[in-house]
Amino acid sequence: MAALGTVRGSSSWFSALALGVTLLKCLLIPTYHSTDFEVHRNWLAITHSLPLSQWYYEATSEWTLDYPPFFAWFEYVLSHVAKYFDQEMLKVHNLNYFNSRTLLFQRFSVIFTDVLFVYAVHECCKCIDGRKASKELTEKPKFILSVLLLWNFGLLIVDHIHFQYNGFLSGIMLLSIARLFQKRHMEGAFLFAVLLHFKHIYIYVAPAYGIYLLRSYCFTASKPDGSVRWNSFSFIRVFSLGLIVFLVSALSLGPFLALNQLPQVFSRLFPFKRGLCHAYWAPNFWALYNAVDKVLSIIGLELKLLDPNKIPKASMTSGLVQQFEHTVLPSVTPWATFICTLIAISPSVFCLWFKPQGPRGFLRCLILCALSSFMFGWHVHEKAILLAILPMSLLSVEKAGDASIFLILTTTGHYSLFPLLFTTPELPIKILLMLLFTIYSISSLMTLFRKEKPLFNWMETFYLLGLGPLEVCCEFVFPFTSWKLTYPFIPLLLTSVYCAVGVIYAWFRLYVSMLTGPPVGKTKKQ
Amino acid sequence: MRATVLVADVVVYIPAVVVYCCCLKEVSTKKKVANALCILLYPGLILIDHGHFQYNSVSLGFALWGVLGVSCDWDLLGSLAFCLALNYKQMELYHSLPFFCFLLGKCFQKGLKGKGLGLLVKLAGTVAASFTLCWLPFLSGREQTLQVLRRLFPVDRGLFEDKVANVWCSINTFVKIKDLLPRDTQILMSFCLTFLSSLPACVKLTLRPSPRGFRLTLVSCALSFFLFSFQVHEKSILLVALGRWDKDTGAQHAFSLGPAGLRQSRPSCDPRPLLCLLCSSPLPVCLVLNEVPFMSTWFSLVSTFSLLPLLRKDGLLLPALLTAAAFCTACAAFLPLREAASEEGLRLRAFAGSLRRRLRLPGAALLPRATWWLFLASVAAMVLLTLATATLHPPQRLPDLFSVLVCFVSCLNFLFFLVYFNIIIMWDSKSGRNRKKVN
Repeated sequence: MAALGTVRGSSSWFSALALGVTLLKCLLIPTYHSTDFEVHRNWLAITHSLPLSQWYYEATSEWTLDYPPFFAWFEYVLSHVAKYFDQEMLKVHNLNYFNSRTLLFQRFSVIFTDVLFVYAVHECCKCIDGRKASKELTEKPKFILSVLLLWNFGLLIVDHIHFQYNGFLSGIMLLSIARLFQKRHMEGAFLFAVLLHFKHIYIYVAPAYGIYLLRSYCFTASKPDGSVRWNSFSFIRVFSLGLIVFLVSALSLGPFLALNQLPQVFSRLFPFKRGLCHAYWAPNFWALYNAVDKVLSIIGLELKLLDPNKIPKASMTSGLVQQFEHTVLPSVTPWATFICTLIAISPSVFCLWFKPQGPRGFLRCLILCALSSFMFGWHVHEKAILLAILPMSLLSVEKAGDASIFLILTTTGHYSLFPLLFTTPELPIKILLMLLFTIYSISSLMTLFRKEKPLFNWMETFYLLGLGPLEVCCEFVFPFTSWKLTYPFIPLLLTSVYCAVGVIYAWFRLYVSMLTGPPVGKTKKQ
Repeated sequence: MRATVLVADVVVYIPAVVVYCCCLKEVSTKKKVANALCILLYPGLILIDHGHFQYNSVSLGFALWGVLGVSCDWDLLGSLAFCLALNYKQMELYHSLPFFCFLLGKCFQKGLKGKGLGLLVKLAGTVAASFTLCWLPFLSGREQTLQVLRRLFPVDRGLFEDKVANVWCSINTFVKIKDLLPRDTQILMSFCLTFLSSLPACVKLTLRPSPRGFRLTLVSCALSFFLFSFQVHEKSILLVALGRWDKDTGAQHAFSLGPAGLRQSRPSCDPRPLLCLLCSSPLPVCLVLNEVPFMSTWFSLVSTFSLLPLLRKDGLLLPALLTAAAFCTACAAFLPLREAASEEGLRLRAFAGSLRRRLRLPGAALLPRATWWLFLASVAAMVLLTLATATLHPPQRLPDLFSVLVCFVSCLNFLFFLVYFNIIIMWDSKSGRNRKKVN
């Protein structure tokens, strides 16, 4: 009976997981959706009704097209399906057009494109080392990884409630990582190039790809001590990689180059007029920087060290995206953030060059690049934390140290997404789903690594447990206090700062684990 | 308000299910968890309590505590819990007969001269005390008590009201018994049939009380009550609450599929009779999921399907489909359904054996194969009717066509289940020995 079960169940558990989460996504159809819904409806309308030359100039709606051309083509393809649902949503001047058919179409398009994500997870599971797997299905690393990826809380609420298309984009990224694990470097490079032209936020992790491909693919052999063997440089490989990138970019940007619209496209893609922080501060370094600045300015005002007239009126925490300056600490410019990011990325990139540890080293570098860019980038969205969380799941089921870092990063990262869903009906959904995911991830990883030392020390345990009271204070206690009127930003500020501590700690620990990782000779054979 | 339903669920129903599954004997921990998950995913309760909005989970939770208590020999606590359930919602009367018979059987078993009498007296005392406690504020005068009773059981309505998946409504589509027979005959007929259809199982339970027999009898009695009893309910209040008085078509509901013409009648959306089934059905699902997983899953699907017209009017069609799909996925993933459709899994071995002896029928797999084909036919009918209800408009002359068809198909299914459960109760002699846990 048990044998029958395992034979029948060899891939049926994966289908059951995928089907289950798809049904959950369908149930989330009528929930709250953010302005991103209108953004994408607008882009459907623009790409459907206007010619190519107008796509990046159209500005009837405030939500102009600010993703690279492949995404615009994707919306164009979707719009041809959308016309069977409701023609009216494809008219550009129908701003904020909304009805049940539009909602159904948009939600189903996200659910449907998630098929690519499911396929990518399936491929990633093949790359996991299942040697020390137990016979029990729920304790197998593949199973745990599938649940952590397919049922990822952050992806669920950002994609299927808040409304975005991160599912299939993350799918492309995970697929390219899987291809690199499987030594199909050209495909991996191709997929990443395509991804970059879907959403340019993935430029955060481009250095990892570039250095890894150069070091481990273009240089076909290394010396025994791990340093590069210069004479093993393969021009063919470099050339073919370059050709792939060039062809993909030509396909994407070619038409706009021909129309002389490149500057306009780039100005849409990289709008630096926005402020250092998004309306709600992403939990990164600058959130702490802002908080310290605010605290210092308040102290300064109290102690009469600062002149109240010189304080700029625009408050960073009022919730609007504006340009503003810090009061006590030096102001931060885009260039400053760029340089900080470069400095933060460099150790990991150098490590990848000088101490290549195969695909796993690449993955670690990728995660570090994503986290460092999240930490020091200009106008970072809190959703960008998913860029680091999803690949990190792959590492978490293999080593206990990585599992510990993953859990801290994931729990704080997911918690920092809470302010995205601020409506009352979504409150039980987000709390219960988060609890479900967190409890599962912690218990399954603890069970997987039960033979090694405990995953958390007391400090980390306290920190994670502190998220509970923080949530209770912010959502249940604070609205009934008098501070709600005078300092309405306090819950957001507290959430930001508390999560920033956790994210920075995870980043730091990950860096330490990369820099003190085992030398080249001892790495596992892939 | 939605939060209160959720809290009630968490406080009463979910612990009952979890404890019930933990107390299952000879079952691995994984199977217990799988059982609990499948029970909690039962679509009908989720949709009615959290979609349509009711508080059924409280009464079901108490009834389940009652079943647990009585099965584990904590008779007083069990009967107290059941009295609470009964005083919460009078629909629990559907389950009262098996409780009575089981406890009476236990008293007989212990011997009426000794411990049995003591137990009987204690039980009677518990029931009387709990009823008095619940009813105390309303016992201030005869008139008040009578008024409460009148509200609980308004007997001045007819045999049934509109589209109900029970026998009278189904018969009525062909023969207008509601108008042919006088009121008193209707009451007598429904009483007799209800009583007779639950009699065999109850008698067997009294003579040979066992927890397993008790659970199966709960199922069959609830079914017979639903199928045959006198449907009484406060329609107007519900209609006001639902706000769905369909003024346009209110005067044109055709009961008959034949050319008997249109009749004056009340509009179709009274969920009360269907909700009667809801009160009874999660309990059987719980209780027999472990014993006959295949039938249990099938039953849950049919009961959810029978709610279709109501859910459609509430705008819950998509969630209904999704929760039903989720339930099917969970059952298919965790319970070995294909194996459960065998003769052993359906607990039909004894019956099949006696059939073969009496009728000299060859073919070992006749019964399971027939059951499997019936299952496929039933699912096909349900899928077709769901699609039709969701996408098509009924013809002008028969605006209730799909609702009537849904009720009719559900009724046929329920009759089949009634027969099946009675068969396994009656042929369930020597219960422990033949049973092999299908894992």
